[in-house]
Amino acid sequence: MIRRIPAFLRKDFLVEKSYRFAFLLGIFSTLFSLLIFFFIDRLFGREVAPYLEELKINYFSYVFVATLLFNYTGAGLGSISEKIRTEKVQGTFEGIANNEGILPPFVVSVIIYNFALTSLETVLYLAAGFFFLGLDFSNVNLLSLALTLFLSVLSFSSIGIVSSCFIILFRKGNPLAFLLNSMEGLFGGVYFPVAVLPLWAQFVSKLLPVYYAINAAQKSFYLNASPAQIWKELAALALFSAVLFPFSLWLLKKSVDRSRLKGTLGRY
Amino acid sequence: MLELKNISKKFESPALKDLNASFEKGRIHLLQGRNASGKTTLLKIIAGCLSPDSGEISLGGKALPSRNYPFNSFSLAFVEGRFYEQISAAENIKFRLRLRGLSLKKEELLAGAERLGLGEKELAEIPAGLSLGTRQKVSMLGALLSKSEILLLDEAFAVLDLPARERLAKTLREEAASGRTVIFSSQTARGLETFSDRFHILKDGALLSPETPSYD
Repeated sequence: MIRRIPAFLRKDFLVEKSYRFAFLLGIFSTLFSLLIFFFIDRLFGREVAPYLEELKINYFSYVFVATLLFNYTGAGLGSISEKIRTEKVQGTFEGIANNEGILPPFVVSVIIYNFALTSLETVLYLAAGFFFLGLDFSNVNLLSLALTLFLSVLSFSSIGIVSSCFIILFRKGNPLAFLLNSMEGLFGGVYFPVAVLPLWAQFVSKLLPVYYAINAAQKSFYLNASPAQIWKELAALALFSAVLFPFSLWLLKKSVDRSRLKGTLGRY
Repeated sequence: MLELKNISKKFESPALKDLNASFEKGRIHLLQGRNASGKTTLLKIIAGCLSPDSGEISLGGKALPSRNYPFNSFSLAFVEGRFYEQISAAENIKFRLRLRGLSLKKEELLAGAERLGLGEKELAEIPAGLSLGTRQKVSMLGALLSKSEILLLDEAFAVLDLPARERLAKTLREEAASGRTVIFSSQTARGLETFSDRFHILKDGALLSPETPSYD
């Protein structure tokens, strides 16, 4: 089963290579968003500063790391269903889904590939942040950051697998991805610290893995926090992953079985 | 021997009705029927892409389980091919084989391609740039190289010109002689009766009397 993962990764790389322009556009799009936040910080940064005292950073530094983390959310959440839909449109999904031995490596390879691609983009953003936007990364705790990213990708991908079941069963329309993307933008602490929100909304934030992921990433980045110092965030992410990952794989299998019975595996 | 017992499948209307059939090893079987007679549905069920509503499939006397279905025993090729349109025809074939745990040397690929009248140039092309006939040849080539025991070819001769048809017929004859079972579908038996060993005629999801070619 594991030996099939490199086959998928190689194929995905070759496919991605044919869309070089789209990759570059994606990078520029995020860089422009970051620039917008850079100037927002100049305008309103002082207003947000009291909420960021614990991290000892300015608004731009906050939103920079949160945006990078949010990219990982997107890579996990939307990419699997997007991939499945593309495979359906190309007529190749039947060949993948009809084989119990191929479906898990397919899912794992999508996760690995998107994680690697997002990490490559992240390195470029970090370089831009360091060299052109004056960000200070001297306090980064790499072990904490690696653990945070690993657990984040696992929990985001689990939700992504669950949401891809909608595509398998209903072909188009992915309400879970839409709902979570919107909720994470509003309640997840991506564009502003959660402390800005009213108390009831802060409670909603704590139900989302992205809240813990961003918190852990901020502390790893700017406070040199060790894994022990961010254990609560890591434990929350581990709990999300432990519950969601097996559930998502079970649900995926059930969805594929149902779709195979209905004869809709190849429909889109 | 591949045996199908009481296979039924219903979508909006019944596609296959209580179908029984047997396909001997090392033979070429023509599955003939008009449009919407259930040919593709039957091939997909044998390949495991579709679950039947009822019935049993057995291979070599053993009933095949719906869980852990032996997918690698079957190779299904569609007339238009199912490809990743962004990568070359050769890469598509290699990927398909890698998923089966097979690696393919360039010489093996070219030798297989030559049997079907394909050249290195066509294999280096992305599928979107190939004619329908060439896409079909690439699709067949992928199935041939898969080393599966049973070849399932949907509308195998539908869009091929005469020399390509003759080449494919010769290749399938050789594959059958080497012990592989070939099951291919066609709307008509005309021109195919000379090299098919068995005829299975499907009409409205049911199998009619075997052994008799129909020219409808």
